[in-house]
Amino acid sequence: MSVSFSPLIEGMIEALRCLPGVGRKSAQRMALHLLERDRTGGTQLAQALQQAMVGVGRCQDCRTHTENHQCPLCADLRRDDSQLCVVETPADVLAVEQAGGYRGRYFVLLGHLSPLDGLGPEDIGLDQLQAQLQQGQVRELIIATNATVEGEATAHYIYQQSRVLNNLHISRIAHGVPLGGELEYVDGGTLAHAFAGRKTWTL
Amino acid sequence: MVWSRPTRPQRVTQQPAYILHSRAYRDTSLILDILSLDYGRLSLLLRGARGTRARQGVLAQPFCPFRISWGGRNELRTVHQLESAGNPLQLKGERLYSGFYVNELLVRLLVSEDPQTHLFAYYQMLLESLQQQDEIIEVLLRRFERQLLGQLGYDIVFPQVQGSGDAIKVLESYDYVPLDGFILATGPTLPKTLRIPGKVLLALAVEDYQAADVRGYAKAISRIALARLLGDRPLKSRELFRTPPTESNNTAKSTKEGNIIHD
Repeated sequence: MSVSFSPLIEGMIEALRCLPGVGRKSAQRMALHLLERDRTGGTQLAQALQQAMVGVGRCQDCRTHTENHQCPLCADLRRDDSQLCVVETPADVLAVEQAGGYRGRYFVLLGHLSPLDGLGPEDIGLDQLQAQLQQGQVRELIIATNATVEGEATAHYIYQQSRVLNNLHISRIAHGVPLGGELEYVDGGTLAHAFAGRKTWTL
Repeated sequence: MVWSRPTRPQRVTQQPAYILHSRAYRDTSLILDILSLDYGRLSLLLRGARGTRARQGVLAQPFCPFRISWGGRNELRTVHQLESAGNPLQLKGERLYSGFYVNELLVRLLVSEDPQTHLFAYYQMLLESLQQQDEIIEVLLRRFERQLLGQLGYDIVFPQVQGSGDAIKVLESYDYVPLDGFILATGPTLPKTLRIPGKVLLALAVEDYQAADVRGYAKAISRIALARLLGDRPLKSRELFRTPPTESNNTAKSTKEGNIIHD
């Protein structure tokens, strides 16, 4: 390309391309928009990014992103210490919280076992999880990883490493027909799971 | 003469394929790495596969047989249709890890869009036997590794079982040298080579994996042969097998196998 922007603008465009799904063209559009129409917004963005990139770390207990030693959920004394729910992402914590009904604690893997993405057991903090379980406070471990092949592998790995611990009940969230779903339109694999995991009718 | 790029078919329909790996792309798309019957390994873009409004029905997961139709002019072709072609395999535990291991091998070793005649069938057979649970995982993996090496043109060539002067001498030992094959051992063991008793070599040549020590040697040979192709970056999926052992004898076995290579 013979014609290009001045170095500062060029640098900004290159930097914006680190965002997922943003290519050269979108980055250019964003950069020009900020320069032409929204300088305050741009400055705020720069400051917010700067502060967050320096300040945000991991919660010492559940590994989720936070700027304090503990995230608000882990710091909440009213939560039940005897239940621990393992999820893949902070978004999953939010989903479970919004669904309601769970008052225990969380452990956020920030990923799942996926050798092809270069993610092994230690990259998703499974050693830290094991150390936490060994302290003995947790009575029930609820494995709520995704119902994908990788999520399943992760669940199995966690089960394998924590089954040796005494007094720990390990459970996996159920997979099956979604509420309001019609059997006819549910895929075979899910339906098979729903059948295999059927529950005795209790009132 | 002007060398022209081999033309790619614009549109492929109903191609039998397995998904080896998928990764998220943008908000709702996936980039799939697939192994197909006629086109080998390639990457495809699958739109609208994630998120709350994703079409349910078919789930793009590894270890499920699919029929995939794709097309497009870009380097990254787009999936037009993804149809399930059979029940997803229910691989569990170590059998699932083995599936990951094989997928990692394929993604690392296969060149994109380089069709291999028999590989798809071998892969399919491997997955089905992993699912069936009658054979030990190790045997299945060793067999597949040998098939894969053969397809890539790196066959492990064994001396003849019977016949002329080349025949395996049961009472002798052999050194495995990656490029040259098996050489009748003379003198002390060299570093980084593997010395194999003739009896074991004979079993390996006819793929008789019944004895545990034969399996140990087979693993060591595969490792050496694959290591040359894989380069420095280790296979991540091997870490999965390092879990606390399910049975107590597991650890003893794996350390023994690990010690066979003298390096």
